[in-house]
Amino acid sequence: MKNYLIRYVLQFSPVLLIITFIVFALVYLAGDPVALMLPDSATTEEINNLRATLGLDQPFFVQYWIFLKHILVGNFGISFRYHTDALSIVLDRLPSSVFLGVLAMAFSLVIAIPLGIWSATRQHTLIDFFITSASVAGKAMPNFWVGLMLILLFSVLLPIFPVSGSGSFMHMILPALTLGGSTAAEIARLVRASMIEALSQDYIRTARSKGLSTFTIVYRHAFKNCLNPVITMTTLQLPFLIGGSLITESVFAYPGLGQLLVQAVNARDMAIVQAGIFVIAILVILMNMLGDILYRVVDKRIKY
Amino acid sequence: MNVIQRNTNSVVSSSPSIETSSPAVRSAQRASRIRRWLALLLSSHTGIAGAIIVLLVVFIAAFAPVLAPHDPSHTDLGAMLMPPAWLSGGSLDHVLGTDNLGRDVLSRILYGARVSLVVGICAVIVAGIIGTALGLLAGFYGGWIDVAIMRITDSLLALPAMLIMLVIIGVFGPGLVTLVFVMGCTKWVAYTRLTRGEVLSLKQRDFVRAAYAIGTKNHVIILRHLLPNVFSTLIVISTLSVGTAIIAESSLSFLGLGIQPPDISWGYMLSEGQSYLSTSWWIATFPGFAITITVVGIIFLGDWLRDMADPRQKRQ
Repeated sequence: MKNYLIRYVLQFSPVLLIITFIVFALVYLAGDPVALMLPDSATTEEINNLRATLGLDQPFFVQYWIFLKHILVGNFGISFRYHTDALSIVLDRLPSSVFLGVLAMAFSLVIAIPLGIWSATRQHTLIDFFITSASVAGKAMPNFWVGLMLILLFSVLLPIFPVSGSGSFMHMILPALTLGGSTAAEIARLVRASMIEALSQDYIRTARSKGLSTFTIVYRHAFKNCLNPVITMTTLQLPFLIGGSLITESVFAYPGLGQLLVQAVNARDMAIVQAGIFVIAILVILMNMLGDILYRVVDKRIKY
Repeated sequence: MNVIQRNTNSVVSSSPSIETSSPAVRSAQRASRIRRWLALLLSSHTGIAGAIIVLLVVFIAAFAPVLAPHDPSHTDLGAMLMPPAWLSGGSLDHVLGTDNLGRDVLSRILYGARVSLVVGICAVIVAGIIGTALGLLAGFYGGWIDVAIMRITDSLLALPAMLIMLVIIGVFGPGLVTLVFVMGCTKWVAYTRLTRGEVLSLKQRDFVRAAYAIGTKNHVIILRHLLPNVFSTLIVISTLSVGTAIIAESSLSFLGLGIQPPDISWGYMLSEGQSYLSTSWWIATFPGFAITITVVGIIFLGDWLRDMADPRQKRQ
């Protein structure tokens, strides 16, 4: 286990380094932020002074080196819109996004796993056809449109949930459903495929011939063997979930990391963009690692 | 059905030997392969549905000026926010209603097909070229080239593609060319991983080792022996990627970071409709259907192509 963790960290250190480079290069290409920080009336001397203070007059690789040193101590610079440390703004918004993401993932698992199993145990029936079609449609619908349609149905026509904003659990249900929708479609497809595979195995025939109930066979024998691909898919879906949250949070005006980043990109507030990308990358890497560990816990055949 | 499947299987698996046959035999082989594929297409309901939807969208995009009942950018302040024809207050002149500036929603949807297809297809071509080239290099040469390329793909996989696209557009400013460029830059990873995997196994096959043994130059092996054998797999993921690229384009346009007016995009129409959701639901509803139907067609077609390319992986 310890060796495994060390290997994992070693493997992902270069990945993080490359990510810092991508993040830095993008912001470097974005051009001089000084013009945005100073009022229009600033003199050339003032501009040059600020450039020198920020180190923007240095060559590319010197600037990158300084950037790396700052990152190591968690310093991503000051957001010129909020006038405070960019990392702390990002970390402030993180919990509400994580909560939304977890809720979305929970929704999608709760919807997708039973539907996938149901569909697999009734292969080639009308129910199977409907569930399979719904999962294709779920993959094909852009999630911001799903969000708009949910608002139309459950906030405008039937005023059950609030249209947008945050503050209560009710505010989170529509965004979480929107966000979890395409993940649910993906997981349902996968559960169906692996259940069909599992149900055709010899040990299932043995279980049946022993006279076990269908419920025990499906849930205790077959389903356990479908867990691995589901765990992998769940962790692999995380970047999509975060990507989706950029849009979903904007549709519902939900004050999370996604909305913050979209606004920061629009306003060219690059300190926040850099800090946000970095935090998300670490989150994704950690989740992949967690998925990998979970995978080994579920399937004892895999060694560290 | 089973017989046909077995036949395609043998055609696919014999493809590495194409170069041994004469041109006449080759064209006959090709003709019979096309016939078999058509027979298989006709035996798959979703395959036919997908092909019909995709052809229809291509047709609409090509002939939008002929098909559209109105000029999509023509504003008519006398006909603002008219509902679809079947609701009271609607008229047959504007079948799907009008938007906040009195523009015909149906005409705008028909024209919107152009942007979606152009961006979707161009993005996939750019991503496919970058990704395949890097995958061929990584798989064929191995060593530090492989390590470097794979670490870059790992890094990009740790970042949500949507986020990178957003940032690049933030840097370079929105527009059609930027959109194609950013999607090309973020979506190539899948092609690289796939091509590399295929090349690693192809490299061990006799025909590649034989080519190597008689002193064939590396670039000839890559381009004439490896690339053609990866191609069928590439076509499958390219088709499916067009669907995700269309969704990505509409998402970015929805955020105001994609297609800019006066160009018409389904995503941008949705963002315009969002403010009128409570009073004029049709503005934000129909473009979404257009996106969903198009992408469903592409998924069906892509799934069918995947079954063709590898009948063993056919979904149950």
